Amino acid sequence: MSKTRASKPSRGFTLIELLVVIAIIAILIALLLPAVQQAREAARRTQCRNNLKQLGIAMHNYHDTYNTLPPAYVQVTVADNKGHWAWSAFLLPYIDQTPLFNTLNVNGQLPSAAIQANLGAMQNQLAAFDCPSDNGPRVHDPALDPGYAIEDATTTTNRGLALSNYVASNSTSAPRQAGRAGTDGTQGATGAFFRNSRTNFSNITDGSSNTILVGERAWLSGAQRMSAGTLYAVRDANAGGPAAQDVNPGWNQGIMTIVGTSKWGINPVLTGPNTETSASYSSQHTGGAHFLMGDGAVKFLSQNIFNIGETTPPAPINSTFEALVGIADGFVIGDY
Amino acid sequence: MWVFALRNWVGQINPARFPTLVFSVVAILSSMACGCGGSVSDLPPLGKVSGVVTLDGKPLANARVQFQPPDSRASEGMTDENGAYTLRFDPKNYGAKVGPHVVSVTTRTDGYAKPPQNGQEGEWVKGQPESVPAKYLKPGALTAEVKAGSNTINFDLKN
Repeated sequence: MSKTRASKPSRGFTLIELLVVIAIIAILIALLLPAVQQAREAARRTQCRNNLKQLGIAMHNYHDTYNTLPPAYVQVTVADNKGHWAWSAFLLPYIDQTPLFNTLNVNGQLPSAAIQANLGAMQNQLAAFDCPSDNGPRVHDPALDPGYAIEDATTTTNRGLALSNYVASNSTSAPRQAGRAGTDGTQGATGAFFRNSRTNFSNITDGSSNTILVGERAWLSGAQRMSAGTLYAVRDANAGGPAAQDVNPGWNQGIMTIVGTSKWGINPVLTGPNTETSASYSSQHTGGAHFLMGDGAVKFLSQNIFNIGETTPPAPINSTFEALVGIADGFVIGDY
Repeated sequence: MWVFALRNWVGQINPARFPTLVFSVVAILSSMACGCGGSVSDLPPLGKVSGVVTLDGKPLANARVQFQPPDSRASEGMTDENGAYTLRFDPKNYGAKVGPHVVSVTTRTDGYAKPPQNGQEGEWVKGQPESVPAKYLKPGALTAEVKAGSNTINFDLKN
């Protein structure tokens, strides 16, 4: 039978031959598709790393100019719910956004005046602060997250701030306005950014390559809304500066919208939106998040990194992740 | 041409054995797919943990239960109105790292502002005070050993 076929090849294919070819092609495509998706995510991850790298270069250029890193925010006395300028606004001239810096008039007016005069500019989410893996909105909805918004200067209209996927490193305990007092996170912020902070590299005695400056925060952690962070400005609480653990404690507004803490680890389990845990770092990349170190390096830290977030005081720096946040804790960091 | 070479080769195969052939091709390719796909994970071995927290015999509701292992991230859970909690390691995995843990239980929370309604600023909600006795708040006052598989770990706190 087969001999006859082989000796007299007819032009054309039998049904079974065709089916076999189609099946093999289908299997090859099925093999390729997940790889394409992974390549897309890898590209988004690279873009996110690049964003942080640019922020690192901007931080260093700012430091070259003023001999200090930018403050987490500048404290002035303003009415409840008005805005304070945040670190991201001060970095604008160093990420090629001098026109925006001048439009917002960061040196000449307060954010509430700027958002009243230039709503579009204030709500403009820069690509430099947007991780492409994260699918959050571009601007905070004041009806959803009122604490991620500030009021106009002369009215009580609440305006959502632009979304940022990057928050500065504040502390190893709940976010605080006040700066460092030793290495206990419950005494003051142990990280590089806090109220009117003027941290320079000589203050970072742990070594800039062992210290986190900026980390990621995503719109979602798991399936829960984490709300990411805010760009340019931060909301005041009761004329005492942004809400923080040490001044007007609140967990759905305040300093936690511009800075992050290691207390609950990376990609924490959220029990709902707007919990205190929303002040952590998170990302949509599998298994961890990117962090900008003081030397400009961008590292991907595993969410399983050793971290002790004490639930009650004292909160000494006694784990790897906390030591990376602390600028002068003296904790010896092994491999991580 | 290679197509006709393939066709000759296919023609020499006993048609009765085609299903076996297709099946083995699928099996080989899918085993290759398993080898390439999936990223390396540094997830430690986990044991499922749940239990009940009581204070003087009454269920302790809305308490944050944290299991801290000596070399990894902590697992956390919140108690419900019956004092029952289930630990989660991260957003995707339940349980806690197998091994010893320092356990902390706390009910203290911060205040927060309610979302505005009808254009009115939301009121400020005060935080919850600590109802766990101070002796349990010292680090290391409560410990637990998590084993592989399912664990039921209850805490009977007393004033």
